[in-house]
Amino acid sequence: MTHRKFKKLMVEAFYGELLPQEKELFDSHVRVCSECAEIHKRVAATLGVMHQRQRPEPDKAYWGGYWTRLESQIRRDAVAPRKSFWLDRLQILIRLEPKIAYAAGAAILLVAFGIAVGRFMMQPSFQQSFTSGESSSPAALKVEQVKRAEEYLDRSRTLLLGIVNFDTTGTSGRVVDLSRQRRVSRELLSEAHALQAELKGPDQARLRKLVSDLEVIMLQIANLEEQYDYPAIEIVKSGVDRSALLLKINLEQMQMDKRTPQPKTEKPNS
Amino acid sequence: MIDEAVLMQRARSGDMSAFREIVEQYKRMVYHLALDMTGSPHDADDVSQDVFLRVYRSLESFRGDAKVSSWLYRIAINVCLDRRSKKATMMMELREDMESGEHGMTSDNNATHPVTATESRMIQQHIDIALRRLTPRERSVFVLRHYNDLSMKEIATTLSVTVGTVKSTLFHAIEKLQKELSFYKKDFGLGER
Repeated sequence: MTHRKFKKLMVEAFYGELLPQEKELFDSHVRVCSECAEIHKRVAATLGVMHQRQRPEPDKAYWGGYWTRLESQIRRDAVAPRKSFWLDRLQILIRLEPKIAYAAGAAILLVAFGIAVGRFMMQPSFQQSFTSGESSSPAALKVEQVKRAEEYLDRSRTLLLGIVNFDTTGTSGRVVDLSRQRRVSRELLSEAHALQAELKGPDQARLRKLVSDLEVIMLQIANLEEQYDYPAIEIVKSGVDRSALLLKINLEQMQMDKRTPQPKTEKPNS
Repeated sequence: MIDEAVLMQRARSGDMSAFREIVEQYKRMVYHLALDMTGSPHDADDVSQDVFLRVYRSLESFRGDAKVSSWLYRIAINVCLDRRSKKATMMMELREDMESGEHGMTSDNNATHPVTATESRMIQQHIDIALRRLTPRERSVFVLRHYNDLSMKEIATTLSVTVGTVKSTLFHAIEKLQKELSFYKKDFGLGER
């Protein structure tokens, strides 16, 4: 047996997990190899010290009340919110294999960054800047713009109606989750940037101004606290009211309905 | 004794008395493992209760193809590791805590001679400090093998790793312990090469 093989089997030998044949080989090697015998002796001594550890044993009263305490915990737990199983797993992975966890995290970030860049590159406005000369006529582009603006105004109106009709007086003690409103307002904010860049025509000045006003409100909504942020909600409500945003949205939508250009389509030759 | 599988079946169907029987049967095992992992009776109590709470929550997920004890070991290790991450401070506490009467602790140490008692306490402290030096994985493997008598194969199953990983982890753990306890070389023939 080599020293390497000896080291490989040593742990199993100490815990009696060697096969009889392996044990015989191991023991005979220890008898003839002084170097391995010395290692063997030291490991045996280490484990000997570790064997001296004494577990303090709780008394009978502790064990007697064990179930009662557990039962009350189970009752409390039945009404408490639970932690995610996957969050648990993730924490354990980070703890046990930090290198792998961080490497995986970095890989995910890289992929997310790639997706974000890809999505930015594939945005309609970006694509149009490359393809407008080939496949999109100015009229079709305008239709597309109006469609996007309509959608933007529609979504903004829905969000603002929800906020304006939010009752901040009778909600004390109740958990109010504003995460959805925050998420939608962030989406609308990024859409507002793209729209403002596109709305350049002289006949679009009023719409551009409205999008700009809405942008300010969306920013306020995006910065609301997730819960109980009643004072900030009041500020948003007064902002919407002061600027008459809902009225302006309605007017603009009515105007859009009237002047929506129809893309010219060539009649097929009959 | 009622068959484990029957007990689990009854517990799954909402029979609290069956679940209580399971708890009574395994509470010491879980508590001791938690004590080995945390080094503190207070944490061991919290961990063991948390383990049974999680067991109760996940009774449905117990498939029955493993032993209840293996399942409990796995949950206990996970709870210990989870707790460790939550605590900014080290989990292992000095042996003084254990002997301060927490939970009415009684130690196996029957030495009455003051010198012997002091020596014994010192050794206990050194052992705890040495265990504290191990990584969470090394400590899990070492305490499961050394103090809870699980075979390497059982440890591999419990921690969802290979037997080879268990062996090498155990080897590294013992090497570290040897270094940590090297000052005992005069008394126990330990020492670094």
